[in-house]
Amino acid sequence: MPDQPGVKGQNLSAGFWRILLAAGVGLGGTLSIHAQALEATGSIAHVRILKIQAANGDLLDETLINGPSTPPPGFDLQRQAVFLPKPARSASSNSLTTPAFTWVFGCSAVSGAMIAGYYDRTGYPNMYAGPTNGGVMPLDNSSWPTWADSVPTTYPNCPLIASKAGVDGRVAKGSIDDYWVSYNSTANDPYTGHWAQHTWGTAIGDYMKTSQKAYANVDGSTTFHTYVSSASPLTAAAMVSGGVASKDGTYGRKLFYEARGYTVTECYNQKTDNTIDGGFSFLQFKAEIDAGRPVMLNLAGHTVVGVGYNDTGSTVYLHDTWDTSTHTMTWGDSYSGMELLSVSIVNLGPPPASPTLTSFNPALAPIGDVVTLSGTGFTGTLSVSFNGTFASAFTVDGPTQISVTVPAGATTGKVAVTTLGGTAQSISDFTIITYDLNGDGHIDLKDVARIARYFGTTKAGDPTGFQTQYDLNGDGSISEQDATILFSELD
Amino acid sequence: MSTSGFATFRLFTAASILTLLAACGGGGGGGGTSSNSATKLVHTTDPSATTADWRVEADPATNGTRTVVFHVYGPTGASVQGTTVFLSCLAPQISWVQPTGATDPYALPGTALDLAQGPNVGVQLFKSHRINADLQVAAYQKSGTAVLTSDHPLFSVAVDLADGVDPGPVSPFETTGRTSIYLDGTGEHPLTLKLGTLTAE
Repeated sequence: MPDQPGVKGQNLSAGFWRILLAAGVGLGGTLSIHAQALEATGSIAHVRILKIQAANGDLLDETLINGPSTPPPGFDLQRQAVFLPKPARSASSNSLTTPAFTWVFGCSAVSGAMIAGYYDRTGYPNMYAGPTNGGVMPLDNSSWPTWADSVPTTYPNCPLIASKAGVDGRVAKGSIDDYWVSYNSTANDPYTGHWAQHTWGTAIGDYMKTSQKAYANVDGSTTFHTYVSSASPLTAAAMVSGGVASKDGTYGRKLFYEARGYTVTECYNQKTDNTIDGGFSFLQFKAEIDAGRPVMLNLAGHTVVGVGYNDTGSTVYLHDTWDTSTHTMTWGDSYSGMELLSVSIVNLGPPPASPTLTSFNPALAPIGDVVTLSGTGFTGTLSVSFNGTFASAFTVDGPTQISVTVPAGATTGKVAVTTLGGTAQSISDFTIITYDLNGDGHIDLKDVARIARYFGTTKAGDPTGFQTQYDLNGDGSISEQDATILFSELD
Repeated sequence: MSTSGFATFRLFTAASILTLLAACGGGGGGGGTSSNSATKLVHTTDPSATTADWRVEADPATNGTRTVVFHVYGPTGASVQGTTVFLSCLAPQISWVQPTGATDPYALPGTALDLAQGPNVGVQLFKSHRINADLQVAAYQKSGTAVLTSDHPLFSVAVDLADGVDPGPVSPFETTGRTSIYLDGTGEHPLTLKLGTLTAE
């Protein structure tokens, strides 16, 4: 059990109240079987804090955050948009270009996705691997169509936050289909008793258990844990030993990063120093920003992302999920009437080296042949594609070599290798040999006409007249050898 | 019934059975040779064909024998680099065979094209390919075009009459789903061969 310095009074605007609970009582329904609820220590419109005893004996605050989809009224002056300052540490400020997503599925999941999207753009490209924007997470979620629930309330989409059938070409049901009813709904998740929930993998909200009834999260909410009276970080290991990891949003962020193939070096929740002496401080916040890491900030009823700072007035620049602008708050103060409570920190190992693709051999081949790719950084290769057609069969022979079978449907064009460190594309085109030279669906003697027509042309001597696709042996000339190859491939 | 009447009935029955057997075995080829089987193939050029057409003409020396050689001609005066032709025969009555003098299994180069060009004269753009009754033949010069005449075929193919084929029409036809083409200085163009009729006699 960590040290327990003095706890500052929690200035919850709806008043501080304390009710002893027998057990198993909460807004979201049942509690984790590993923890016992001792008392509810606070509840306002969009937050509920339970004091629980974890399985390892730790006393924890279990905070359910259910920030609304629109900002609460009355704070327009504070919420005025500001320009994110350019990084200028000499001027005691810094900032990170972080996506700003608008609210869908839950504020904590949105915030988690903003940070994951930032990493997707800064050396961890497998955070988002969908088709939109060439696989690079956009800076906002306007690329995807809106949708409406049964209320009906209209929400945006962002597959990194929550997946949904029909979005990004997804065929199967996703997070929204399986878990969403309406904001604050305590009804059973739609999938329950009707179909098997989807396989997680692409949406951080799934791993954070946002809106999942099975984890006692009402629609829109996510649960986080901190020590009740200790300023120490509640680490991932402590969450596991305490039996609360499975429902903790921060631990879920860790699981998501790992599911995307990355290594997590640090994972914890910690109360901020405005709520407890020795808690996470503005200096630590600045250090995170300076290290290139946006910070998830949990307020009493909302989750936002800190994306910059200015020493003047201990100013925090943040994205609040309610629009795509940058806003400010003072460290340790409130934002839109909701006090800063804690931070959720999940840090990654160094970005994997970007791959390079220097050559391929042979330079041309028919579909089904094996091609050897040479380059660097191939370890952990996620995909290989030929002019956009992904190969289903490839072997990473080592960090500098991949053996790949030319996939059906591939066409002549660039070869691309994608690893956790990014995508490398060949400089030159890989030529797909098709013996059906005229493309009529038959490999027959009519194809000889193409060889006859371009017979004698060479790549070196007649680069404009030379037709690579008829150079079946890739020797740079259209010759008898190509005819011989064609003769041997007739269907 | 008298004895003679019984004999008459037996004779009638036997004749009927023979007639039925003959009817069931008729119309197809490949059966045993009978006195009624065809012994030769006779080709008649399409009467509408002119020297302006892509056409098939039978070699006069082989027309009227069991193995007939067909010469393939293009329009007189046309400049072509080559052609690919798809033909089918009525199997099993008729089959593709190697023309006399050919090294290719099913086609003999004609004299309309200069096939012996290029750095590797041993490999010509001349090839036949047979799948069952379907035959395709490609004949191309490696460069330039040749002006076609009425007395120089592009290539020749040959068909053979099977044993036991009843007399009747056995004409070749263009392979279903394939289009014959020729290549000239501007590219590839479809062509239609006037095949004439072939009769087993």
